[in-house]
Amino acid sequence: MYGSGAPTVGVLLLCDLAGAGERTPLRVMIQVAGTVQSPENMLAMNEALMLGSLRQHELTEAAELLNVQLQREISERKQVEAALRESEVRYRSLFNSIDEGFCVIEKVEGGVGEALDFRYLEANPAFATQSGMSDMVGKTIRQALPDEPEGWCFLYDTILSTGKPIRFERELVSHGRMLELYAFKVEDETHRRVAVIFKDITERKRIEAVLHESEERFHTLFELGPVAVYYCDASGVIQNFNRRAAELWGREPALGNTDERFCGSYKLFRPDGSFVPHEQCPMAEVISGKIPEANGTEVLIERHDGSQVSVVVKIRPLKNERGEITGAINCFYDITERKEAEQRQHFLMNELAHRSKNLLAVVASIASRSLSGTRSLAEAREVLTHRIQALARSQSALMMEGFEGASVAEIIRLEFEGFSDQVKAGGPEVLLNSRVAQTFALVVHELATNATKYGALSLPEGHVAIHWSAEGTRAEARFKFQWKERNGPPVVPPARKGFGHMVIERAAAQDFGLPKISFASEGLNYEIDAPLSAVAAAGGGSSLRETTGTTKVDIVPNTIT
Amino acid sequence: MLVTFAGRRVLVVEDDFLVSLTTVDFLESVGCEVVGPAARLAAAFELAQSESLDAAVLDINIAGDMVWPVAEVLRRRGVPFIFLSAHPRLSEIPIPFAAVPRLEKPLEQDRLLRQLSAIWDVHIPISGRQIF
Repeated sequence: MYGSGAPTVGVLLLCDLAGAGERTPLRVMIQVAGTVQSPENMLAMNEALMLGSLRQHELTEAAELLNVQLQREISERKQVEAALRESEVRYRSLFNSIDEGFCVIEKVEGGVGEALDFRYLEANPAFATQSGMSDMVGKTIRQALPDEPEGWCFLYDTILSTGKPIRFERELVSHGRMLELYAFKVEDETHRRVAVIFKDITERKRIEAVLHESEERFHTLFELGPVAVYYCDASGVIQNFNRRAAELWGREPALGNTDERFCGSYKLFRPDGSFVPHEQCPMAEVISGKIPEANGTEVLIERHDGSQVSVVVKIRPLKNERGEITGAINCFYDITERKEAEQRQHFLMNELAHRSKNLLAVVASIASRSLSGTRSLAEAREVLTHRIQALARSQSALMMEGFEGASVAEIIRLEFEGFSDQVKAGGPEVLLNSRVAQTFALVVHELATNATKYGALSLPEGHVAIHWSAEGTRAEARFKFQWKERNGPPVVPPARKGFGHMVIERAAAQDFGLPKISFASEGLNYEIDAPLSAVAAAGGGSSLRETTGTTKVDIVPNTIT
Repeated sequence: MLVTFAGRRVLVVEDDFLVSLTTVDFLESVGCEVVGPAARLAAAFELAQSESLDAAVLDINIAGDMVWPVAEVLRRRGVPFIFLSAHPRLSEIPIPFAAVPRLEKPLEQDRLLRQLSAIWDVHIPISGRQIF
C-alpha cells in the first residue's frame, strides 16, 4: 500500500494508532491520527509523509493537517508552559511572602545501618525567621542540627511511608524554640520528598502558660474565696458558681439550665419581707440594663428548709468590646451576723433608754419622799444622798457583770464597806436581773441604815447575819435571803411607816413577794423567799460558785452566826 | 392656788413600785383617789373591769406584758386614759390607741395636770410650780 518495502515503525505506529488495517487510505489514517496528539503521533505522521507515492493534493492535505496538528500542539504546549510559568510565579510569590516557614526536604538514601537523614532542597525566607536557622539548603538535618534530639527524621520518614500528613508541635531544642509544624508528602516521582510548613509558637506558648496560670489563680480564688460568686450570661442562665454561693443558697443549681435564671436560690425576698421573683431580682435588672450595677443591695435568701440568710449583693455587668452586655457577675456575702448584731444593739439601746428613764423616775420618787415629812432639811439631804448612793451602787454592781445582772454578794459588799466584823454575810453566786437588783440594793440600804440608827449596828456588840441561797431545781428553784440582827438595843416596832419601811415592805413585795418582817425581841428578822426564775438575771442567775472576799465584810460561805 | 379633783378615781398601772410613787403622790396631792397601783397585767385587768373609774394612767410595758388588753377594757367602758411610758414609740402602739395622749417618764406633773384637766374638762389656772 505505501510503496515498496516493509512498513516502517512509524507507519506501523500510525496504523496502530488509527486502529486501521494496512489498506486504510493514508488520508483517513492521518485524520484519525491527527486527533490524538502526542510526539509519537507526530513521528508516525512524518513517516507517513516520507513514504512518497502520495499524490499532490493528498500531500498538501496531509501537510495541512500536520501543520494544524503541529500548531495546535505548539499552542497547547505554549499554554501549558505559560500556565506552568504562572503557577511557578504564584508558587514563588507565596513561597517568599508567607510568614510561615516552608521547606522541602528529601530523604537521603543511605546504606543499611546508616542513620535516617533528610536534605534541605529549598527553604523560603521565612524559614530563617521562624526557625532561627539559615543557609540550610543543601545541608541535611543531621549536618545542620547535630545536637538536636532524635525524632525529626523518624517523623518525616513516617510521613513518606504512610503518605499521611501530620500536624504536630515540637521543640527545636538546639534553638530553644517551640514550633508548630504541618508536614506532608510531596506527590512526585521521587516519593522521597516531604514539604514542611511551620511556625514559631514559643511566644504563644508562653502567653498560654501565663494565661493558664492566671486562670488557675482565678479559679482557686473563685473556689476558695470567702465571698459567694456566680455569673450568668446575657440571658441570665447561670454559667458558674462557687462553693460559698452553694452554701448560702442551700442548693446547687444545674449549670446552663434555662429554667434557673438569674439566681440559684430557692426563694428571694426583700428585707421588708416582700417576695421577689427571680426575673426581677437585682441580677436580672443589671443584665437587662435596667440598673447599671448593684452595690450593697440587701436581699433575703430563703432555703428549701425555710431557713433564711440575709446577704448583700454586688453586681457588675460583663461587656464585650462593643459595649454590649454579655452577662453579669455577682458577689454576695452573708450579713446575718451583722443584722443580728444590729438588732441586738437596737435592743440594747432600747434597754438603756428604758433603764435610764426608769432610774430617773426612781430618783424622782425617792427625792420626793425623802424631802417630805417631818425631817429637817439637813437630815433630809443626808437621807436622800445616801439613798441615791445606794441606787448608784446597784448600777455599779450591774456594770460589773456587763449589765446582764448584779451579784447579790457585790451589792451587799458595797453597802457594808467599812463595817468590819459586825456583819457576816455568805451565800452562793447569784445574779439578780437589773430591775430587781435596784430594789434589792435599796432594801439592803434601808435595812443597813435602820440597823445603824436604831438596830444592832448602833451598838458595838450587836451584829448582823446575812445569808442567802439559791436552791431547788428548775421551776421550783427558790431564792432565799435572810437578815438577822442580834444583840442590839431592845426592838421597838416603828410607829410610823416611812419611806424606808415602804421600800423594804412594798417595793420588795412587788419584786420578791411579801417579805417576812418580824420585830423579835432579839432583833429584827427580815426574810425573802422568791422563785429564782423571777429574780435571776436572764443569763443564768446562779452558778454555785462560792465567793471568797478580801474585803472588810466577811463573806464566808454559808455561815450563820 | 391648789387644784382639786376631789373624789376622782384614777387607776394607776405601773410595774415598778418606786416609779409609781411619783404618780401616786401627785394624784393624791390633787385630791384624786388612786386605784392601785397595779403592778401586773392580771391585777390591772381585774381593776379595770370592776372598779368605778374616772381615768387611768397606764404604763405600757408591765413586766414584759403589754397593757393593751387593759386599754381595750377601759375604752369599751368609756374610761379615758393616758399612757405613761419610758420610751413610747408610735410604731409600737396599736392603731386604735394611736390618738391616746402619751407622756414620757419620768413624770412631769404639769403635763399630767394638763392632760387630766383636758380629760375632765376642768379649767385650771396654772400659776407657779407645785412641788410635791
